Order: sequence, then structure tokens, then C-alpha cells
Amino acid sequence: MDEQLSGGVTNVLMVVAVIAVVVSVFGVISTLNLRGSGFASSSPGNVTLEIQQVIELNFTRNLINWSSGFVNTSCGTSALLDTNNTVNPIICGQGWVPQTTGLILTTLGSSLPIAINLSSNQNASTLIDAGGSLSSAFRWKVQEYNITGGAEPLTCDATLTPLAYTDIVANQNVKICNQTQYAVDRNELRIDFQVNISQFAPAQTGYRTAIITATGFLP
Amino acid sequence: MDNQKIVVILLLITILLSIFSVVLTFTTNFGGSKTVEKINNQGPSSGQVSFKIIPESERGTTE
Repeated sequence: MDEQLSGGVTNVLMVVAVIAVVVSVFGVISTLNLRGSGFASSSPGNVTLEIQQVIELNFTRNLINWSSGFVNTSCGTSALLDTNNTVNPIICGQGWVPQTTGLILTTLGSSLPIAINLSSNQNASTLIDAGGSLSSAFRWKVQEYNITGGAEPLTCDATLTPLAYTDIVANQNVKICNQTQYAVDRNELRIDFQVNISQFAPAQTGYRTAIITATGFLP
Repeated sequence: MDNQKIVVILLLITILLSIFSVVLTFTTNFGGSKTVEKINNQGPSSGQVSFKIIPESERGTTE
């Protein structure tokens, strides 16, 4: 009697086990199909984590204005205005106001290393020569900066460029830093400008302005 | 007795398949999750360089 009962229970268990195996196999096949299709198997369980790093990339000194002036032809055939020359910030120019500090670009808010692009909407021809070619020049260079006067070493890694004055190409992104190395005391870059104005550069009633734009992005 | 062994084997297979299925489900649902880092540029990121060339007719008043 007990053996018959035990045999019956075992048979029932076997049927249950077979059903369980079939269900499991079906589950595995179903999961594999979903995996192969690229679809999420269930939307509530599909997690996409997005971390937004907020970086403030600001020009804390955002204006260089030499004001109004002209080439002193009794001195030379062109005037040189240079934000990185404290001794002779203006050579052979008259009326322009000397500028002895370039634009200051400051990164704040994150220690995330970023690359920085710089662009200008003008080149020498469009900014100074009214579209012509009168041997005028519009150049920039970058350096690490500290408001106390000294350099802030390692604001950028070894890729900081251009370190010497380089002619500006209009509307071209120039990667001035491949990777910042942020710290509170090393987060500033200085961008200096040199403008060489030919005596033949056309005078204007209004100001000539170049917009310099800095863009940060992940390297 | 033989039937009981078969039941045990079937249950073991079921357990293994279930574990495999759970692992697959986790790797499918969570293995594909992404961490996206974005940069928000805030505040002004533009500067200006400007000057004016005085017309010759006006230079006498400036000199």
C-alpha cells in the first residue's frame, strides 16, 4: 500500500519535473532570442545610467579692446599691438590703448579632464584688411596662467599649443589643450593676441571685432 | 527507485537551467547599461578682440 502510494507520488513528481524542465528550457530560449535581437527583455529592468559632468568653461577676462588709433607712418609702415608685450605693447601705433593681458580662460566645476578647442570668426584679412591682403597679421598663442603673475604649471598636459604666435585661420577649431589637469590652483589659460596693422589697412567708422570661442569636450 | 533518480536528475537540470536563465537575464538587462559622461558648457565661453582704425580725416583731432 505504501509502495503504491510512494510510486504514485514519484510519478506525479516526475511529471512536475518534466514540466519544470520544459518551462526552464522555454525560458532560456526566450532569453537567448531577446539577447540576440538586441531588445531589452523587460523595460523596467533595463537601466541606462547617465552621469552629467558640469564644467564651467568661462572667459573670466573676455574683452581685449585697443580702442581707436592709427599707424604712425613716421615710425613705420605698420603698427604692432601685442597683449603679451609689457615693455612695448604698441609699436608704431598712435591712439590705441595698450593691452598687456590676453583673454583668460578658466575651467571650473569638475576635475574631469577635458580637451579645449579655440576658434575665431575672423582672420587677418577679414579683421584688418577688409577682405584684402595687405600683409596685416592676426595671431594668437596660449600659456598657462596665474592671476598673481606666474604660470600655473600643469593646467594642461604637455599638449598645450600654440606656445608661439601663430596666424589665426578663421572658423577653424584649434585644439589648444588635449587634456586639462584640473586643480583649484591650475585651472587658467591665457590667450594672447598680436595684431599687425598695415598702414594701408582701410579705416572704418566702426570697431573691428573678432569673436573668440572656447569649447570643452571629452578627449 | 529508478523513477526517483530520474526525478532528482530532472530537478537538477531544472535548477541549472534556472540559474543559467537568471544569469542571462541579468547580463542582458544590466550588462548593456551605459555610463555616459557629458560636458555642459555653462556661462560665457566667448571673448572679444576689438579695435578701430581711425579714418585719416579724423586723425587730426586725435593726434
